[in-house]
Amino acid sequence: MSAPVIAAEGLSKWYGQIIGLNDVTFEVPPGITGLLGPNGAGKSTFMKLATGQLQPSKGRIAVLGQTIWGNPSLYFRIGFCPEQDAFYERMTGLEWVAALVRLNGADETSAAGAARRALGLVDLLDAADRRIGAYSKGMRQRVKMAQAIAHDPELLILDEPLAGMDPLARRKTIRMIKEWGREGRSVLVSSHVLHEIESMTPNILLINQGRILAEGNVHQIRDLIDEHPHKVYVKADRTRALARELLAQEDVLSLAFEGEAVVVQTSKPDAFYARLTELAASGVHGAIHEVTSPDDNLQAVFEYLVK
Amino acid sequence: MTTRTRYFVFGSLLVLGVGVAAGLVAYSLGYSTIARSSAGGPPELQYVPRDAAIVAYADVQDVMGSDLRRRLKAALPSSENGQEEFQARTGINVETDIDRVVAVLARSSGSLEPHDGMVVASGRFDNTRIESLMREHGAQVEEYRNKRVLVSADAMHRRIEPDGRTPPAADRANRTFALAFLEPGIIAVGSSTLVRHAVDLDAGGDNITTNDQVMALVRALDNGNNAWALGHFEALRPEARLPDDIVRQLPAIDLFSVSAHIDGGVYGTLRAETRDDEAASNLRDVVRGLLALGRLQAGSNPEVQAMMQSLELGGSGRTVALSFSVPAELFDLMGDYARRRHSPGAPAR
Amino acid sequence: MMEGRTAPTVAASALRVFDLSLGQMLWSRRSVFLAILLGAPVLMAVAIRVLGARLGPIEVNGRAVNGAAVFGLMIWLLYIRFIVPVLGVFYGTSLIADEIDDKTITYLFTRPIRRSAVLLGKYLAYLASTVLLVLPSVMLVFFLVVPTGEGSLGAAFPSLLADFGMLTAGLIAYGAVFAFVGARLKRPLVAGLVFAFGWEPAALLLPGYLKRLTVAYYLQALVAHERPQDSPIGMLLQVFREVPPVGTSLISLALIVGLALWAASRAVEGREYVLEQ
Repeated sequence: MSAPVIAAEGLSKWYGQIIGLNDVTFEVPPGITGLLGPNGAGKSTFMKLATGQLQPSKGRIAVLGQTIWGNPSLYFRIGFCPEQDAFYERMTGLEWVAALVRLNGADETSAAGAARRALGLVDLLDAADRRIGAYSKGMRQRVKMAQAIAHDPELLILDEPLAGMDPLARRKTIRMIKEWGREGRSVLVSSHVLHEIESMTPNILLINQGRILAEGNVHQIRDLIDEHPHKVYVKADRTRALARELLAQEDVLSLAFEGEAVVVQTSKPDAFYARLTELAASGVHGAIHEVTSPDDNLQAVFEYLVK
Repeated sequence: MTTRTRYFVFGSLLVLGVGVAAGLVAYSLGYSTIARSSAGGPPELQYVPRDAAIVAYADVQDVMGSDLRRRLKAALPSSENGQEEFQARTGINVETDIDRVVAVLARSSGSLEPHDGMVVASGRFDNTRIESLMREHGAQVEEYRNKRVLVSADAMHRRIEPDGRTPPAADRANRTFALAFLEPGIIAVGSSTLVRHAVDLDAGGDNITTNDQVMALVRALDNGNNAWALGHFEALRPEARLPDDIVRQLPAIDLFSVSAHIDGGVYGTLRAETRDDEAASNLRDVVRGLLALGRLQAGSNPEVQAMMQSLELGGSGRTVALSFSVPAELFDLMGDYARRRHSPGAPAR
Repeated sequence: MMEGRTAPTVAASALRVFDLSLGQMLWSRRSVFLAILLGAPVLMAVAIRVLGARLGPIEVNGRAVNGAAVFGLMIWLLYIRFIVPVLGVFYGTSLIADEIDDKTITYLFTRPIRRSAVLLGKYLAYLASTVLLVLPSVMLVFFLVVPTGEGSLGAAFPSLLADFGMLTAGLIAYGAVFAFVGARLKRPLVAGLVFAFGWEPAALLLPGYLKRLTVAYYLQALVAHERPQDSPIGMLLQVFREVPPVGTSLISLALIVGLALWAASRAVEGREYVLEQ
């Protein structure tokens, strides 16, 4: 068996009186691994421990066989895409990614080349010279991905990477992550949406309330989650026409409008997302700008598992 | 670095570069005049030896034009006669023809004696008239380093040594009186040794402006004041009659200075630089005691009380500073006193 | 393939961070504040120039003073005692705090560079941006004010160069002290303002050794201009006229800067900043 890319042993993190992660021991194998859990489960805490932004309160965590806290050399081998929507807004996408690659020791020319390649991979080359402040949410998400992959890391740690992406970008990103895995690199990707993780990997870590509930195959979880309705927030050019089309589908249980967006409740999220991607690709209802799942129906699954 | 940032950096450096270049041009164009004053203090300091014991300066124009001077003139009219006689003999109106004076007392070293002194004055002088006057009094004209120097051996003949002997001939030759026309509008008057030295310094050499310790003090004194003096305390000690408590501190005092701004009254600061912090602390205690005593003895006279109250003891570390303010009313009081002495029947104010 | 690579040196990394941060600092929200702060003396200088041309030389306490003296006063009262500490406080304390507020610190702390290099790079960016703004401002004030009242540009020029050195030394020292405050404390701005405008003026007026725990005490020795002594304020200033020799001041300032940056680097290396996002 090959060495784990991340190994946690008795790992705990407290924020004062609040427990972020509670005495967890597990290993993340090479390849793609999904970290699945509802909001506040401890996913971000684990991501921050795995990227050396936090120091364990107790226990230890090794990344690629080394302690990460206070070990900057390790970042040559890691790419991190954080959850927060934060940027140097006045810089262009190319300037920003190139500047971050330069922090890896690359000279100006090779940094610019690496940045262009990465922006090309996330389909942002056309907007490379535009200011990040003028990017849409999906573009911002993609430029964040670009800075994570630009220096060609061995391990990619992605915190909610698909949040806010449009269906096409989402599909492309999923494909890219899978490609990454096929090339023998490792990816740890977090999400609170099961089908997102499932479309990338069958290998998951289920986390809730600071504890690892399950490790392994996604299919058992998926059977449970399908029993629960799933909410999806969609923003498109012609939202009402799109809503009419969606309402005709059997799995759509309800529809509600929120501003320029429609919130759909579906009993079959996988089928729904597949159809939505096809609609986006055909363009019959204009562009679909944003697809997010505010739904925390996973919480129900976790409650079930905890019981 | 983004393009916009590069432009900004370039623009900022351009402004600085253009400014510095313009400043350098201004500096080099005005170098001949500023070279002497860039060290601070009046330009006449270039004629003062580097190791002078005491240097004093007065901006005569400023002092003569002050409100205080007008009050004193009104209070002491008798001083007019002497001034008129001086003007008749030399052609110099002290009130209008002299701009600045720098007085210097030499420290004993090499050919210089402790009592050698000199005054360098700048203003508008009738050189011919002054030369005639000097010649009338037996002065000899000599060319020294292309400068006209009038030397009078007569002036020092009255000096008698403490034991009643006259100074030896060689010594007398060294201690003659001289006047030199250093530059148009600048004359030096005093001991011939010092005056010749001033001519030497005009050609180059170490003058007092190369003495960093003294010049630091000069810059402080020269700012905002129209009269000041500074010196090494050792030079003052033999002549000073000071209270015993102060005398005990004397060995610890290095430099002393007094600066004043003369306008409606006199505002100034007396400062002593001691050799260490402890000596400064001791001296402050003594001065504090004297101040308390003085305030007690100020009596009921409000002007004197005001002057005593204005005395502020300050400074820290090795510096002891005493700031003072003498109000114009006190000079009025002195004027009244002088008038009463000259005419006892005059009513007091 | 990158397994054997080691992190670049702190100096090399700091220069990269400097490159990235300079623009961020120059075009940040604070730029407006900075423009007002540095534009005000220039506007004052324009007013002095215009009024000087119409009404004659400026008088301080009833005495006409030349442009060089007015410039000296402006350098001391506006720049040294106000603008430089303010810039130090607002920029120095925000070196890391801004990245935390903007949630961008993650991008810098997940790169193969030491965290101290991030701090040093941002400190260098602070220095460059403030020096590049303050010195041109002083330059403009110099050319506007000095010629008034028969002041000589040429004669005053050496003091301008000395002022440049002193202002740069002030920005270096205050920036380092407040970088430490910013790296160490959770509410650094308040602590910085208390230090610059509470502690420093008070300690300078108190007799004894407390003034040695201020930056202004050592900066005083580098001031080329003398302060006026013919007013109650002048007399008061005269009380704390005692200044250390220039050499002692420079060594002390270098020690302050070295110590503050070392302590700030230590604080940054050990702190979990993401907790504050």
